Amino acid sequence: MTEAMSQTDDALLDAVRAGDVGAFDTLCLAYATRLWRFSYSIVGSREGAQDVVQDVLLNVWERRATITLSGSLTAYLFGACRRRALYYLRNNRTAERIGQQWTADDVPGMARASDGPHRALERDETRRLLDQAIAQLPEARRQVIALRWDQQLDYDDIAHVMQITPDAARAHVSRAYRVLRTLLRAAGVEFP
Amino acid sequence: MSIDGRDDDGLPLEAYLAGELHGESRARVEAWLRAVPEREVLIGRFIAAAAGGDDRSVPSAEEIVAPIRAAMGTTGASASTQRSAARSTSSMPSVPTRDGIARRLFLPSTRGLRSIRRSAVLGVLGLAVLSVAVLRLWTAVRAWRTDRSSHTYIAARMQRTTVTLPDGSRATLAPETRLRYDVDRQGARTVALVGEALFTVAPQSHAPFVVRTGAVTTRVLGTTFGVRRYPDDRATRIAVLSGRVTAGGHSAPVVLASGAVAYATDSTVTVSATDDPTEATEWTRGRLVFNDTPVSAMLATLGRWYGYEFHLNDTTLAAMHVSVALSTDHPADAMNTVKAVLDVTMTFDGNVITLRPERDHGGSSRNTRTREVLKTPQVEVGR
Repeated sequence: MTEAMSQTDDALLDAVRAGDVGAFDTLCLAYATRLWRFSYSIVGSREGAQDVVQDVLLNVWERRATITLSGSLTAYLFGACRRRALYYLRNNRTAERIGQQWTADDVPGMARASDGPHRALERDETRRLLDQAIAQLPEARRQVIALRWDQQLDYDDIAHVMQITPDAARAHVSRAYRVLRTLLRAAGVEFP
Repeated sequence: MSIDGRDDDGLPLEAYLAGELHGESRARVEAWLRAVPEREVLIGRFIAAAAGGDDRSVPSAEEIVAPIRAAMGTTGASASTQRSAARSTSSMPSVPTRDGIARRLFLPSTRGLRSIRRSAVLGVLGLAVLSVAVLRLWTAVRAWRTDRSSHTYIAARMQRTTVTLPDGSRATLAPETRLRYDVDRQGARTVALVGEALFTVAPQSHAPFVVRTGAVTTRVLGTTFGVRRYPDDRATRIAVLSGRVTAGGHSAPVVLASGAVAYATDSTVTVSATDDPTEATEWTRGRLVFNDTPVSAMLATLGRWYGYEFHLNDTTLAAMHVSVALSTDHPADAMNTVKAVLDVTMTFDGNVITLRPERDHGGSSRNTRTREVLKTPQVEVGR
């Protein structure tokens, strides 16, 4: 979260506080897909992710007059989505394990069945290594990675969202980075 | 590797993945990733798997927001309807309940008493709407009367100046820049610009801030960005330091996020892959940064800042591209640097400077040699 972005966010939030529907719509559009993706990574279903994002954003509108942020708007929204998603999970035991959603054909550059037996084998092996690497990540660490490398939040925001210290967030990233490095080496991809 | 530092081979890969790298170091990591395509693919798959799957399965923002809009009773079909919706709701307590209230009030009824009550309620509502309309008209007229005058700001040759516009926005003007500020009756703030300026816009949710440079329009909501278009520039350069702006000529506007530098002509907007917005606005901090700039264009800028008039008859040299940083406050030092970089002799006659190539060597070899000189740090002149 750059200072620049937070300036725009502050302006948006001030307008929302004043009851500006247009500004609220802009805010929703700006964050919708990011919050959806992060929520999806926790609840594991499309309907669940949609419900979570909708609840969180409508809650912002309903509480607009009294809402106070202890951190940035980004941190607030992702944190609210995380809480809401975990709550959703407790009440809906439908969470499919994430990481199983995509198939080789969905990922650009990945070997396909039509590539012949050799490439297919390579793909299965890579896929196994990847699943293994992801399985190594504790749930909290996986969420930190989603926030840092997928959503590109800074450590302060991640700390806010995860309710941990920025140093703990750094430690998660550092360990996950090691897992990534091991994965690349195991897959035979040259890596420092 | 240390997480804040660099990898074993000196690459800040983690910072790259976190989107914190820009400019040259970003380009270096990207080149490294592409050198072995599997690197990029596998890292991408790792992040995608950790973050919940393939990006393509994510619904569009419009799809996600649609049920929210439905719950709010807004359409969000276009920015203008959003704005008018925003204006008309400020007097309402809570939009989500609006639909419910309306439905209860206007429910068709067969009973006489209900219908009398209904017309009474309608009358009260009508009166309320009328008074709101009168109030709005009055505020609009007042706003128009106070803001109808336009303001013009000018920075002369060799002059840099910072002005505060009537809405509280600030603009820093580069030499030979003319800026006219207007507020229209809808409250939209419009700036007509010839030259170059850095804007820090005071956020006003209802009132867009628009900079016009010829046919190119740059539109913002509270942000810091530089716009440049001198009369002899072929395109408008827009450098976004913070926030977001949209820019476009006759075509559909393009959204530029912070960190972007774009060149907009009347018909196209091209986002530069290499330009750094900080460099592009360094002049506000006393430094002129030229990055792969034609010598002729550099001399035109130096003329505006230092008040010199440059004569250069060597067309090969004029077309050559240079990268150099110069201080705005020390013309003499800057001229020495330019002299060394271009490998020329300078003859001063009043404010006219004539440049002649030092030695007669081929254009291509000079090009190479100059580039080598340019990459050395001592070329950078501090403040």
